[in-house]
Amino acid sequence: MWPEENTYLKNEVVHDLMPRPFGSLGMLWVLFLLTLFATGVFYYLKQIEQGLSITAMRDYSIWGIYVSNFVFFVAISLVGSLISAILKLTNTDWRSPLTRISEMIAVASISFAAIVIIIDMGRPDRFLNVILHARLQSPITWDVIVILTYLVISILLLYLPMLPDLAIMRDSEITIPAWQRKMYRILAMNWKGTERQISLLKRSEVRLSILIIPVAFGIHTVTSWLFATTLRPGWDSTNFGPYFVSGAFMVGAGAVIAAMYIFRKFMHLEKYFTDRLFDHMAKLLVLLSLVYLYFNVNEYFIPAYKMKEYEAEHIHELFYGNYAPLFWSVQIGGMIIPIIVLLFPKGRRPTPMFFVSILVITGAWFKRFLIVVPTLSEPFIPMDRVPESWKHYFPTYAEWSITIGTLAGALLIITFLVRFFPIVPMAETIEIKHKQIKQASEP
Amino acid sequence: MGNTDSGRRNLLRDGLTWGAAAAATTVGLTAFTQDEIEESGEKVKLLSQHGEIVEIDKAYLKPVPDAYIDRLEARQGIEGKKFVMVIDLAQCKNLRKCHDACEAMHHLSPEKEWLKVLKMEDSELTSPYWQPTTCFHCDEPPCVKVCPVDATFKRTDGIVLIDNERCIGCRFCMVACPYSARVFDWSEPEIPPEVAGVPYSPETGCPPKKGTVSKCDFCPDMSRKGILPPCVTACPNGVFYFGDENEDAVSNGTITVRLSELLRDRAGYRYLEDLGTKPRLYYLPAVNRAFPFEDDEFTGGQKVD
Amino acid sequence: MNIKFMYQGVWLAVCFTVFLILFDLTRLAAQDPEEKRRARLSLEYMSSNVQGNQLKATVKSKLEGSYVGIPEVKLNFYRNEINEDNFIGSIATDTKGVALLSVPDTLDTVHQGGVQLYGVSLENDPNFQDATQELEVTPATLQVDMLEEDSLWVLSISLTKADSNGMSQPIADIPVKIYVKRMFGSMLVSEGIETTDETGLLRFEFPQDVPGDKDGKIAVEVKIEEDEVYGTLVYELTPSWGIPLLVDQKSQIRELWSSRANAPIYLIVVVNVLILVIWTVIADVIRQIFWIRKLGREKSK
Repeated sequence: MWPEENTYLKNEVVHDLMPRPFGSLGMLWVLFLLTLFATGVFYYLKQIEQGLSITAMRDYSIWGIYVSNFVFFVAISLVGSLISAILKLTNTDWRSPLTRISEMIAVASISFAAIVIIIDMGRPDRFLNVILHARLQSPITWDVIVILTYLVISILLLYLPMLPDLAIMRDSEITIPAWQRKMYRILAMNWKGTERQISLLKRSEVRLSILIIPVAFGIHTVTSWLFATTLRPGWDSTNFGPYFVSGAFMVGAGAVIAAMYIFRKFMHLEKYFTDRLFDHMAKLLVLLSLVYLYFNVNEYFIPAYKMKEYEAEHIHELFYGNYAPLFWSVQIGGMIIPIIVLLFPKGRRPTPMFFVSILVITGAWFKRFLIVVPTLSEPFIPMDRVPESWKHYFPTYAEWSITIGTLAGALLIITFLVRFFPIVPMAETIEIKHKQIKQASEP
Repeated sequence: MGNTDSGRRNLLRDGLTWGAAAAATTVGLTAFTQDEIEESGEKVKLLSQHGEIVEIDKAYLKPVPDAYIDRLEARQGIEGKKFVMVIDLAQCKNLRKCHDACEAMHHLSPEKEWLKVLKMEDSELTSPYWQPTTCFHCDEPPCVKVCPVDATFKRTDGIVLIDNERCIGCRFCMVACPYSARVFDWSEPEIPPEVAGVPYSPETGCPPKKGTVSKCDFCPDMSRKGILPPCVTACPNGVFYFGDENEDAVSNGTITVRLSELLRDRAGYRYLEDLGTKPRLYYLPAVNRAFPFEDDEFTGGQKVD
Repeated sequence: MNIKFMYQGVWLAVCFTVFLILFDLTRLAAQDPEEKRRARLSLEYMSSNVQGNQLKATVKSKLEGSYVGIPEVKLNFYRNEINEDNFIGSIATDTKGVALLSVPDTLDTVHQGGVQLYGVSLENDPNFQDATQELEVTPATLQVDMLEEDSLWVLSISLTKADSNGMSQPIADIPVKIYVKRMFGSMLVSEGIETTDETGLLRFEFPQDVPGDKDGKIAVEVKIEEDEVYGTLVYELTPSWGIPLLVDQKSQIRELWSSRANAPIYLIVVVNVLILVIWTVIADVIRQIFWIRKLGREKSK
């Protein structure tokens, strides 16, 4: 497959990118995540015993951070389709080191999206009813179908392009435990890199890349419909689908930047996650943020202009009311500031970008909170004779623990995926480097 | 057994068709099941139609047991009926007897309000008024639309019910209901001993189930007996009217009036009509009130719609 | 000190109230024969073509400021003056405090004319003071015929009584109300006050817009209510004058709010086509993975 003179190149790439056992820092990180995850599990067991009364949700604040966290996970999972499908199909050459990490984020977050929504259920023991008694008229049914589909496509998009890498690891001379090599051998599916295999692989990759785009739009549009199909002020919007999708692409790009920075720092991948790559991602993030800003203007300015009775209350609460501090922090900190910082070349350097991406991710998480919670705090009917705590939803310790547990769980999945699979596609990198050398050697 | 059952059904059906004035009392003579009842020895004198005094053992005077409506049957609805409610806001003084009767009837805990009495104020200069609010049993129910598992359903008699043994507790229906009519059992509900052993029926929502949604059910179990829902009969001011749209009649326990005339003459309207849910509950506007609006301590100073 | 005493007082009062509620009020009174409560007794005469002639006695007593019906009170009924010889029956009140006694046919004097006297008494009740109530009633006959005249539906109502010769005499100027029976009560269909004319007759044009059952049948009640002289007279009949009920089949309609079995066709088609197309591609990709594996195995041989 590769010319003889490039064995050196290949060895170098393999050496750089071969997954390694956790160092002490890595162990500490895993331990930290496990602790958070275990705390979440502990509180979830408590929730199963005591019911959802363990949360701050009540008959008016019907949904809380479980649902907003679910929306966040669904949103962030869209990064898989962004990097490995849209950028691939538009022949954006710089994206190749990012495909693997973005698919890992996608698989981890979509898995936890499914888990989180089960956590929110009052009767998780009846989960199978969703399939046994599925009602096609319900957006939840559509969501179940599309999440399952997206999960399968994401796993395939993670796995399929990895076949050559798995073969490289299977055949590598670096000492690894026997079971690990066995795992690579099984997963590599007898990959030999023959022309026939390559053509089959490429064809499947293209098919999946095309397929995942409508499914990705579907998954987040349907998720937005969980809100937009209701009559509640703040959700009763025809703008919700594109608004959610654009927000998802933005936070997905942010997540990739954060991951790039962390792995570059701790796995010394400067050669692969180059400053130039950061610059590209920064420009992409600015573009996506501007699109999201555009939809935000639509989403808030138009109702604010009309000030229809019930919408007006919602807008007031967000603009000047109880939720105003959070609302403006999220809008400015999570959207305006990132755009401004990233417009400057100095802002497009890895370290500032890392902080910007953290801003974007946190902002996105709280933005989902602001989409879900305030609307429910302003029902059509007046909230009479209810305890004060019912009127202002603030998550309980248990809710926070469970939510943080799910975030830790998703990070754990990513961490373990990175432990066993190369974070940058090895075969593709070798191929590209080879091409570059060839181009350079030509007059 | 099969015979007695169908006999009771027939009785019930006839009773329903003709208004069942006789069923005003739940105590009836269970003559069909004489051989199954242990006599108590205590005799009660009764008069037959033709003036003969008959002595009957007290054990036969047991309340007629309610026909058990199972989960499948509960989805059908009472044939030929279209239940409808009218609430006369002009008469409501926030006595909350309806609320208490509902709570007692359905064994609800205080925070589980199937029936709310809300203080409404349409705009700054208009007078506030009290609005009893139940489930509206909409003809195009947004809650039923979104249910992923068919746990909540619209029946032929117009009633929207919930099967608490199917419900997965996703609460999408609660979110979809613009009237906040639905409530949730956030923890294990306290089940009073008198309903603990009762087989579950969606028509009563009893016994309640943890982690599922419940709401006002228009008391179809009472209608089957020809009895008005307790909120209707509990109101001393005759605020609530309940009846059958097909019969074009509603009753408030004292009088029965033509639904179409009542709505026409009193300018009946439906709450938030523009949402297009087509509620089965109509309000009569709070006009020409015979008493001043008296606020209560719960809503003092609170912003209302 | 005073406050503490007051709290105790309040507490005692609360306990006492709970005690009162727990123990049936009537039973509590029974323990103290000096404290018998006062009962209000009323007596009505009702004549119906279905139920026959009945005496309706109601026992009410003041409870928390309003009169409520008292159940399980034994009442004695008498024809003429209240004494043992005239005893005709005894009956206990139902949950609403109402006791209904069918007047035996042997005592029916509608064809003889004249005034009848009835009495009811509450005697030796452990909880209530003795009470009596008497009623004078002139038996009358209410007859209703259904007529279909051209496009009109008419109830021909006649009210008569027997004179001393046993001859039928018309009764004029008595208000008559016409009801139709509905699920939860009787609905008035006559508007204003309709009274019998000097010939004892009343023609009532029955409204044509009253919904009936599936066959258009309506249960109609023609009533003279609590007349001072004639008591209550009811005539029930079921003409087929209603608008027949069309049984609604809405559950069969395919709507977004229908059951899962009745999902709209377009939804079923769209969702299934999408699932089919997308999962066919996924299945094909998975198949190709195994093909890749097969190719690899062949190569190594």
